[in-house]
Amino acid sequence: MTYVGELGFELYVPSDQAVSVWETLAAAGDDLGLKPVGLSAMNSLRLEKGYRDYAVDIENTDTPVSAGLAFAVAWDKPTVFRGKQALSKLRSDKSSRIVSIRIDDAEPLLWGAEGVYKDGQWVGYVLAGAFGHTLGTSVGLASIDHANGVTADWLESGGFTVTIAGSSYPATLSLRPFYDPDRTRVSG
Amino acid sequence: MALPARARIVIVGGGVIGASIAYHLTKLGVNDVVLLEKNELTSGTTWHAAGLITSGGYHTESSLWIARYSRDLYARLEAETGHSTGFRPVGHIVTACTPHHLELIRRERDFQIHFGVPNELISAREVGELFPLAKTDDILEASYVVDEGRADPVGITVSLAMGAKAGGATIVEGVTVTGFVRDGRRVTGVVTDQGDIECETVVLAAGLWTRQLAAAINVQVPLQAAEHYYILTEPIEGVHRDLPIIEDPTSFGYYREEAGGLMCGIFEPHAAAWYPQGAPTEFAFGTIPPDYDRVMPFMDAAMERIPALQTAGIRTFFCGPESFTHDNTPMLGPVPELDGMYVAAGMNSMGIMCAGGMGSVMASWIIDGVAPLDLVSHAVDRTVTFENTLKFRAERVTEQVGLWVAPSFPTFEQRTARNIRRSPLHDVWKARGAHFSMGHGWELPDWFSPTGEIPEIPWTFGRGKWSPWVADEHRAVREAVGIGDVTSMSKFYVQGPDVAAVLERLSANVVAGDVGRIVYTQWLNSAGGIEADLTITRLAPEKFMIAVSDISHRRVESMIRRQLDTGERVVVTDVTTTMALLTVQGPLSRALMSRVSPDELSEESFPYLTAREIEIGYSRVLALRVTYLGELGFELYIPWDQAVSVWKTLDEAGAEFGMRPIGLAAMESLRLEKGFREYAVDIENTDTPVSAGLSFAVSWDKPGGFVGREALMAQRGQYPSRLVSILLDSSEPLLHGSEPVYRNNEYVGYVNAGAFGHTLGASVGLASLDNSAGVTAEWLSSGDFEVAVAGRRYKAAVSIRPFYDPDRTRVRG
Repeated sequence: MTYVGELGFELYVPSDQAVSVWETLAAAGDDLGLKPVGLSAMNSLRLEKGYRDYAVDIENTDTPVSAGLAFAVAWDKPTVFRGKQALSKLRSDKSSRIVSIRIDDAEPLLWGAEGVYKDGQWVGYVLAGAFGHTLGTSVGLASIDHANGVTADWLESGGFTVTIAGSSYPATLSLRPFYDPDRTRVSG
Repeated sequence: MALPARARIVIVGGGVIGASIAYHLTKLGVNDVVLLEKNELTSGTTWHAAGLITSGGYHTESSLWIARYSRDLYARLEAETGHSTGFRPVGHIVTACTPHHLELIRRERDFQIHFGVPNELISAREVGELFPLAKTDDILEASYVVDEGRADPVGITVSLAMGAKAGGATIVEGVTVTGFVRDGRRVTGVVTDQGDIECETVVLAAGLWTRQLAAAINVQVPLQAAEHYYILTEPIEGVHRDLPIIEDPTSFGYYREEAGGLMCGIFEPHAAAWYPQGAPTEFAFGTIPPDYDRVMPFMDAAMERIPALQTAGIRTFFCGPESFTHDNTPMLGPVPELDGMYVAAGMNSMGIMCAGGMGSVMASWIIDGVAPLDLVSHAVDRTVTFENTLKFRAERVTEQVGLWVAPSFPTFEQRTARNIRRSPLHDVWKARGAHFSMGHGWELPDWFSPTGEIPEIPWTFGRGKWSPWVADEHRAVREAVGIGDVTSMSKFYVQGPDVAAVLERLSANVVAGDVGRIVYTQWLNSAGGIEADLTITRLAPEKFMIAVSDISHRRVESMIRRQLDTGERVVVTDVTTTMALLTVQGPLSRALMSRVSPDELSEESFPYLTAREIEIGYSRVLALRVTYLGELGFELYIPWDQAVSVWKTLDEAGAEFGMRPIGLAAMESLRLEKGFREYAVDIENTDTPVSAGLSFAVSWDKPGGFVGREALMAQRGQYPSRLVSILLDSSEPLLHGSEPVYRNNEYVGYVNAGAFGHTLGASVGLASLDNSAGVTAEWLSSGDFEVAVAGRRYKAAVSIRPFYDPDRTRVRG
């Protein structure tokens, strides 16, 4: 599985053997360009791909519907899951949604808590952001409100800006991630 | 021959081991036995074995029994079956060319002569007289066993197979086993290319194929084939059938007559693995194309020892595969994963010399359900699953072929495939100058070098540069406080509504007492023998923690599983690698701990043999008031991630108390002064709590009894054999185990484990002594005791109570 949007594996290694397994991988990975990566890189990678991080961009008042995680809800499974009743009422509610956002300019950095405007009107704010080294600009996840629905059409109609430290920058918003929206990379 | 539809026991593999197991099962009256061989009998490894029959290298009671029983069986088998085993007692010589090897053969002889081996030490001149072709000027001494020698591996196998058939067993050749049938956790049959056979018991004796075969049903049998070379020469003048065998570690070779020429076997120090990814099934009577470059240096060494080889014509340059194990000890006994499946494989070039005894041992084990000898170190459940990985097998086997007698040295360390299992404090210890030793993959400090420099460590029985450093660590524990890393201890949470009932049935002691209570106990087999030696702590009404040494890890798991009656709700969780385990021991341990913990640690509020969660520095740890070294002390179960932080806290506070980290070597000498037992070192599966001096841990009358109680009751209060403490008078000789003990000049037993006791000032150990009228305090005090160390006798004191702090005044502080 992957949390960074690429072909990958997660290895649950017995703690006593972790160093040994790392040494094996490091020795074998040299000619493949293997590098250890840190949390910062992982954060920018996952934000390019639009993956959510609990307590950073999704929280206890978000629902799978508003958080863009409806794909992970088995609405009709035989066992009624906790919260199903409340969630079902929100199933088609698009008034508030978490969407991917990128600045059109490569200079400013998103960290979260930056205001988002459409045609000068405040519509929400950035929850988490980082510089996307593949996209070449800052990228993040933003919580956007629109009473008539935060739809793909409405997002594509443009006019979005983000305010960063007093300056306003044009931005692009999308329900799908900016990096590999068709998920061609994870299968290798 | 048509396959039977069912049999009580199916043996897979028609080599010498399988044939011997079949033979011995029929001797125990079990004839519903089918042996399946994929090709012809002996076609795997047996056919190309050298057939040396020797006890050389053996210094345990069990291994000597196996070797000598085999020798005796081969000597008499023809009279029973009419087929010759080819056994010829031409004599067997092992050379010693270094002072270390000299001490080794002397120690080995001391021990072996009490187990029926006519082992005599001979001079270089005598070696030359017995084997005139050998150059002897560098030989210091040699051991010579006159009644051992050689046999014909095919002859032995056929003779055993004939005996098995005469006893009612069925042997079918040309049948390939492709899998197994299971019903839940029991094996119930074998699948072959010619149909299934339903059975109660399966025995895997498939030699180097055993690992792959077992893997078909998710059973781990770590072993690996390697290339083994020998050379057969054209006839050589002076070589005749009665020439003794010479084993010569110096030239990595062994030499024996073959068709008027010499067979020169080579055990290379860096051998080649053979098919680590899986051996070809169809390989039968197969050979490997020899790599001449690889073996030429060893041919040179052989020519040095036997100069006649320089001019001898080479008839055959042979290379064939043999299977080796990671610790050079076979894989025997019931597998822990599955009921009804046994294994006997991984013979490490000793298959022919051990097959008779192995067959006898396996047959008893299968029929009685109890191993007839001390075999914890041979049991397949000693293994850890990482030992079956391809990388580990392929690396380790390169070292195993050429080990020879090296593992007999107390300083022996494997050199390949190291640093696999590490404590979270590994790098901390490394920075402090630790010399690491490895057990079951764990790397733990053996001792610390105060300069950080690790000296060259020869394979020796003697002292070294490190000896005074060990002494300093030892004294820190006796006089101040020392901290040792014993993270390798296996740890289990055992939980559930029925946990108390299940653990009480398994334990000879009462373990389900108050929450927070620590209990030392043994788990027994039906004969009262000790299968595991554990510490059990009740953490909550339905939650217990078991701590046991790593060799017992998988046995403990499988014993609980096998004890569960259907419907009993118990869950076992292996938490070994979730917690580091530091032992903080010494008279100042409480003072140190009080400096870093806000909790009350006095004897009144935190008494001996209780457990509680306490704070140390930034962390919460589970602390046990317990000692394995005989002092006031604590064992700290520390969350793995916080181990370094807790160590730093203890280290900073410890300076003023003279605290120092201590290694396994100091711990060994400390525990032996105090007479604490160690499983698989000085107590084993044929010892009972009574003979092992652990009756104090038996709750004879607890409600419901315990496994093994009936057999144990019959021995209660009787001591024909007893484990006692032993202390040399002289401070010079070193005890390492396997030294014979004499009372009034009569052999009465041997030292099981020994070390120099730096507080007592002499070597101290535990010895197993025999006296049919009882090993009593009176018998001990009325005799004059001596111990033989490398050919010399030394006076010794023996005692039922430990020599250090017999009144246990120290542990409460």
